[in-house]
Amino acid sequence: MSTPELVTVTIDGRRAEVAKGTGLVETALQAGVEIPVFCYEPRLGPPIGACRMCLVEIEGMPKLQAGCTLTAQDGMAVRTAATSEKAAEGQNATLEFILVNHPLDCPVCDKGGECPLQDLTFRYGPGNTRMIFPKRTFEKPIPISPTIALDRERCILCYRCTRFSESVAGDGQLVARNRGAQSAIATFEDEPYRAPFSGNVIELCPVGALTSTQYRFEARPWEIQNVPTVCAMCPVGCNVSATTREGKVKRIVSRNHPEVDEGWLCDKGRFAHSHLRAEDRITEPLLRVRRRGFSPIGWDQALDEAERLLRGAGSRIVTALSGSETVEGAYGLARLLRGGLGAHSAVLPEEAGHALDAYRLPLSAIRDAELVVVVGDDPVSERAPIVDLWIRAAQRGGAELVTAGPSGTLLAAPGSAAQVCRDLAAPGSEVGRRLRESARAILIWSGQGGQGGAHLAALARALGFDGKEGCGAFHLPATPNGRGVAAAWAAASDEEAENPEPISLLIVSGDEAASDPNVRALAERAEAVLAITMFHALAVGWADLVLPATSYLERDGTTMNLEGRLQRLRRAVMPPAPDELAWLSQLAERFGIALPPYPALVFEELSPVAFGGLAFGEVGERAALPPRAEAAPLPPLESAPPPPTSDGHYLQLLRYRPLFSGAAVERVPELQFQRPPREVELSADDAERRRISSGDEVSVRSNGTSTALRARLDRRLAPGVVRIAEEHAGDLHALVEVVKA
Amino acid sequence: MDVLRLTSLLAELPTPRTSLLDNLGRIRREVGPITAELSDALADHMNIRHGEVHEVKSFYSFLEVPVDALRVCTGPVCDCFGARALLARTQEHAPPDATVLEVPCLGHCELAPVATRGDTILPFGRDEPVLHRANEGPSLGLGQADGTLADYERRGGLELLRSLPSPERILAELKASGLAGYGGAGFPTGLKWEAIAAEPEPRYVIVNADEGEPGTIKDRYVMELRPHLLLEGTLLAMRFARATEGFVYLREEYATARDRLARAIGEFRAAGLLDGLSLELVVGAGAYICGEETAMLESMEGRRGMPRLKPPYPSRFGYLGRPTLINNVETLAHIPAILRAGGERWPRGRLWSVTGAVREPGCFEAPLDVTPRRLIEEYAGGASDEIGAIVPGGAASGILPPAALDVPLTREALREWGAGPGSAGLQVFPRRYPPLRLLGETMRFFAEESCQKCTPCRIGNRALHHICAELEHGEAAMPRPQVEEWLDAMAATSICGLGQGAPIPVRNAFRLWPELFAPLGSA
Ligand SMILES: Cc1cc2nc3c(=O)[nH]c(=O)nc-3n(C[C@H](O)[C@H](O)[C@H](O)COP(=O)(O)O)c2cc1C
Ligand code: SF4
Ligand code: SF4
Ligand code: SF4
Ligand code: FES
Repeated sequence: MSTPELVTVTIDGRRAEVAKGTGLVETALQAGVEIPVFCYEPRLGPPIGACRMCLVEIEGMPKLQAGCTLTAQDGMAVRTAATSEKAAEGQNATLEFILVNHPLDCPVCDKGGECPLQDLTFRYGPGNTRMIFPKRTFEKPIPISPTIALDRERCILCYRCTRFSESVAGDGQLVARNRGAQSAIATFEDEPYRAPFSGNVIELCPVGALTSTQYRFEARPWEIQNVPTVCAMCPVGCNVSATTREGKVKRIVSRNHPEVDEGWLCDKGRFAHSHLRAEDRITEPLLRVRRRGFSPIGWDQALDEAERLLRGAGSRIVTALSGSETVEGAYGLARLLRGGLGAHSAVLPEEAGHALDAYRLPLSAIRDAELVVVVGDDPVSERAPIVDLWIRAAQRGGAELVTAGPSGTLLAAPGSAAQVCRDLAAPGSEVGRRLRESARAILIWSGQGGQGGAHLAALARALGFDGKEGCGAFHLPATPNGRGVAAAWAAASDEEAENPEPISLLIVSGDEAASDPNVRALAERAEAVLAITMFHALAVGWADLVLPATSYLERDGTTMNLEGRLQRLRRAVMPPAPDELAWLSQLAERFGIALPPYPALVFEELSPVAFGGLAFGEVGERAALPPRAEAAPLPPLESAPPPPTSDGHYLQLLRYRPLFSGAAVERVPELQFQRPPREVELSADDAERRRISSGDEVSVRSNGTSTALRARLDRRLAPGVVRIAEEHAGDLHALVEVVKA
Repeated sequence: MDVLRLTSLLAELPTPRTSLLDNLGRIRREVGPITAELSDALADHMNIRHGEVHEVKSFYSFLEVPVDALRVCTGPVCDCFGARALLARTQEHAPPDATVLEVPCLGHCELAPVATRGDTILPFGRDEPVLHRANEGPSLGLGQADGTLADYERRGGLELLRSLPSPERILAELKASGLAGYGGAGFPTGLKWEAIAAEPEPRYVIVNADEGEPGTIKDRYVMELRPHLLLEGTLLAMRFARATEGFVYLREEYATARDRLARAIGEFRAAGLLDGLSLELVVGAGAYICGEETAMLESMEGRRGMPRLKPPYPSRFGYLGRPTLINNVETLAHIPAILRAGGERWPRGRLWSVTGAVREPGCFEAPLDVTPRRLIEEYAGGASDEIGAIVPGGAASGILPPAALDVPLTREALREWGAGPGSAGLQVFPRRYPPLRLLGETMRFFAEESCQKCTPCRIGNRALHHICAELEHGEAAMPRPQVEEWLDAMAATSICGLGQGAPIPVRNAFRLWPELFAPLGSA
């Protein structure tokens, strides 16, 4: 890249040297001068210059200019309201216009105390408004979804929310309606705003027009504490602040890591926190007493029981990990089980492997790409939502997106991602040729299949990505901290695992493992089960001993996202029971293993093995990405047998795990509307052949099981494939019949 | 909803985003008012998100109402002839399933008070209105209508198209003529054409036929009486700009003009005059702001008609981001005469719409420095009532007392009065029509037509309307110095001409009708 030309701009007499073309608002900031804004938000695309709050005087220009629409040019002399009377007058008038039409109900407004309008009025505004004006009145507040309320009277029509909806998220559901005095923000036909990123408009709104229904009247800014942590509900690891009051998490807001999330969150990460207070939250250890009955026991007794189970099983233990444990929690388990008992057998969350580290880039590099190729069966937004926004940003910048999968721009059969990688690497591939020629190309693996990372790495190598800084590859794992957990498990021992038969004890660590049908199947074969979970419904009926689990918002430690970036989790609130590391440390002691109960100390112990000796304190508030690894030999690639394909009558079932699913989401009333409807997606071909149209009730069957679903046509889906959300697919087999009910 | 009709229509509708407005208009005409279902169906057909079509269709006044709705004009001239009472009466007597709509200026002020149903003009209380009272001006010759292309040719038309002057000569003549855009902003046409010629190809040409300025009917006269003349001017512009695609953006209410233009375009095509070129009619849907050139571009690109930030100007970044020449109908219609006579010898003049309290309202070509009195007495048959106030141009041109009747209507002379000639829509108001009411109605018009993009216009116009309404009851909503600050702020900080121009009539009234504002206190 060429170094940008530097220009010198004077703002209120102060000099700033910036790259030519830098926004004037940012330039001023660099000179220590604030240009106040409402509508300006560079993440939303080109400035629209609507609110007129940012008026400045530019030497040589007769009229006041909207500062947000200008960029730094050499020799530019700018005077803001601080030194220009004309600019101050214009700005005053703008504020006054806004205020005469504003309800000024700050005392009952959730934005009060952290409202840009309030702040700017305080700093720039006229003391009071001098006019009684018939403000626009609207019914208020109206829910535009179960999570978001809209107060049109407070709206200052800055169009931030609609620009977000249209350009950033691309859902196009929040729009401006009508013209003239009737103009208002609305959802289409007043349908709920149902889209994975809707909650961002709450943070974008510079006034209290869009507010969170969860946070309504919950707290005032001076009563709260914001704890900087990261979201651990998916492998993106968005940087967030957890707002707490009186020991409860009240909301999650973004903490903008420009390389990871650019300040956006998905609605799962933003709204799912109330699962901490779910009714069936387990707060004490539980012991199975009769066939189905459980009774709460004290911690001493629980540790005795755990010790008894462990001693009885010895090395014939299998540990099923969730991939949502902290690095330290997983290491604690590993130390105890592997170090103390020689129990090396584990069901690890699907892992990325190290092969891709040679093609590592920050997620933000996707935005700068010119060609993005996604392989795999799952929509990116269901696996790692923010990655979808980065891809959209790339597309806005002119990048081409190629998706190779069952509903992709290149149709590929379910389960064939590894084959697609091989095809792309083959000399005849057109997309492969363009990938090879591009200086800024990105590969993404979004789907199941063991060695995704390794296949992708092989493709990247074949395409000549080594040494090309702008080219990289990402694997989207199924779990938030699969990489960190794998690293922690490995750091505790290098003994090979021998799969015990019979299994004497199955340890189920965490909710994802507890709800995994494969783990449940293992449990059938195990003599005893120790489950660590948060919710009654997940453990009751099959575990012998249940220990309460904690949430990512309740514990300290580290977690590693899909980029391979180690990030710091901070305890936002106290868990209702001791956290995992606390009791693990006590239990370990009984086996003569020294395991400190503090994540910092555990980390120091494992870091030299797993993270090159990085100090806990250096993980940092906005964690850095480790540099690219040296290209290493690739692991041997295995090819899974291709799944059975459709014969025209039987259709191939593609299951996917929706973003809005899982134990936490199920426990958040406001998120129920986001969960996937009971439907089966069919290709237009298959639907037509069966005379099925969108909305029809159909029966989906295989080998004796059947389930009733509503049909939805998906024009992009490959013929011969049907797609059903995991939670509605139940026991269906790989091939299904679909008939009209 | 007629599902079959919709299905077969959809199959015909083009899918590029630029066809959105046109598609919505066709569905409305051929299937019915755009409901949520129709909007969704079109969105699916065009592969646009539902919300975006919804957002666009709700921006316009007419897409959601039936074609045969009764539209009662309450523009200033109609209002002065009792339009509000007529509207109330009409609403009261209308059958329950009929839609009665209040609309700002329908562009038929010479027939005031007036309404339309579908494409039919319905002047209240008169059976056979006189259409087209115009003079045979030396530049436009509106005294005589051209029925066909042959008629037009017989009067010397097409000569220039057939022997096209060089671009250099065209520029020289335009500059010499002093022609300055008649759409309202008065930008020198020669300079605009020079600018477009300096930009890279491809370039577009757009005719601004959205005439929505209250009291302005002149472009309609040109299109109804001499459509071929406009087309020759347009083709000269396209040939000059080397544009192969041209558009005429026409307001929806001008049904006759639409027919005449469509027919004339057909004749041009048949005569081979459009070979290698495309000239398309784009029909609006009821939004005054779409007359503003950049709002028009947005509208044509299938988005809400909200003005863009300028610069860049359309001559650099216009339709689909390409250099685009945008001229008013009348501006283009003068160009053949200018090229024929030569810029120096061209009889400098323009079309004046003269309506309101005059005996023979109509549209007259007269010199630029004509006075209101001459227009009223020598062209429009004299006043029909005691004159109380005149508006020289459009809504933002100012409200003048009878003392201004002898002022030449030039930019310079009117500046002395704090006014301007705007789009030359001279409206004559009788003494019985209170100037405060006129001012209030004007501000209401701006408030309702504001696109709501920028704060000063969005809120300022509503506030000013409120101030006028309160003043009618002798109340002061706000002290005078503060109103003045607001006027300054609107003029200085609004994005487009609507918000920038809206303060003009208020300021002008402060100066010329001080007694009306006594309750506000002194300046
Ligand atoms: C609110 C607003 C409405 C306008 N309406 C019209 C119109 O109806 N017709 C028109 O020709 N110009 C209109 N204009 C002016 C156009 O923006 C533009 O200046 C004009 O079409 C240029 O053509 P001209 O140079 O030939 O006048 C309007 C401007 C504003 C600010
Ligand atoms: S709701 Fe908020 S973000 Fe949206 S336009 Fe209104 S003020 Fe702006
Ligand atoms: S994208 Fe993932 S990390 Fe980010 S907020 Fe959503 S669930 Fe959390
Ligand atoms: S001045 Fe008025 S019409 Fe023009 S952009 Fe601003 S709000 Fe829209
Ligand atoms: S911040 Fe510049 S106009 Fe809104």
